[in-house]
Amino acid sequence: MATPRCRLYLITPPALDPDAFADTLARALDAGDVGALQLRLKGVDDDQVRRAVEALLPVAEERDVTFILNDRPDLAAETGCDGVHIGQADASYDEARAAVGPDAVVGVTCHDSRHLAIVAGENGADYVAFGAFFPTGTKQPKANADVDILEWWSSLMVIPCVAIGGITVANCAPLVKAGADFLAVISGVWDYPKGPAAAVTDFNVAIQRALEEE
Amino acid sequence: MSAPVFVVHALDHARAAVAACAERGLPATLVSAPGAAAYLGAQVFREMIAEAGRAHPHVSVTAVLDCGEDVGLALQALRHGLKAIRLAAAPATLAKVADIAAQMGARLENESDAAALDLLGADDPLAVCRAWLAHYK
Repeated sequence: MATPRCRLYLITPPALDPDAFADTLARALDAGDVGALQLRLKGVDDDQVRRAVEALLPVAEERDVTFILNDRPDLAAETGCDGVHIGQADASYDEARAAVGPDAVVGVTCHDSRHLAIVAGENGADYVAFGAFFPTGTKQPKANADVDILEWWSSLMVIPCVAIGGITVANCAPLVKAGADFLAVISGVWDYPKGPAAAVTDFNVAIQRALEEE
Repeated sequence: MSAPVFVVHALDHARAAVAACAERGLPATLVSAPGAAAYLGAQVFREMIAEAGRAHPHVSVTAVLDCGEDVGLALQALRHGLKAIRLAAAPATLAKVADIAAQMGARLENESDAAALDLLGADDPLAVCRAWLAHYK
């Protein structure tokens, strides 16, 4: 995941109709730069995950967007995803790496912990994810991250860092300026009043503006 | 008492909202995420709400699908049997869609979710719903 600048990392809604979402996704990815897409479904069985990958992976591949599956290294490997994202309560880094192989992307949630991030980096993670930076819905986040952790990480490490948690077009600038390589966004894109495609466009404008203000 | 409104993003959210309302003898209104008709689809949303209500058949559940600005999706939702939809459109368009909805025994809503509980990202949605309903009036 080369990171020439701060890029968008889209996370899917937790429930979706793969065929319907494929069209929405295509329009969103065509609306501006997106570096990665993470498929993160809740409450579905393995076959539903496979069906979603089958419908959505080609949409991402055609646009050179890295396709990452949440939580399930085994399914990521089986379905040909570009990588897997694991949380601290999911498969271990070693298990994930063994499942997806040396060339796939493995990203690790590190909450607001510098220690977890260093461990993940030493293990060989391709990116580390910090958050939550802003409230999301009613969620009581496991950790409340401060932008300092992005500045600290990006000043010391070359491994990309992903900022996550309640990020919107309106609030993303400090994270960009602090050195986030990716902004992971869910409702900030899919629930955007003007629609997901407009959100991708507006996020890219906001990112560029923040970089120019540095 | 009016039905508490929950913004649900997945089946476990819908199940939790209905279960929490069942415990308190309340009806439930389950609203999709903004614009969810474009990626969730009317059929999937309808089935999601039906599945959530199955465990508590005595709870009156109203499902509201947000169709964003897409009139086509709104009409599709009505054809799929949704009884309540949201749509952002010009007043003249809204009037036409509202008329079509009424003819199908459905309605067009334009209420905001200011007083709703948005379950996005809730790790334990049932606990969140219970805590919220404890203060619901």
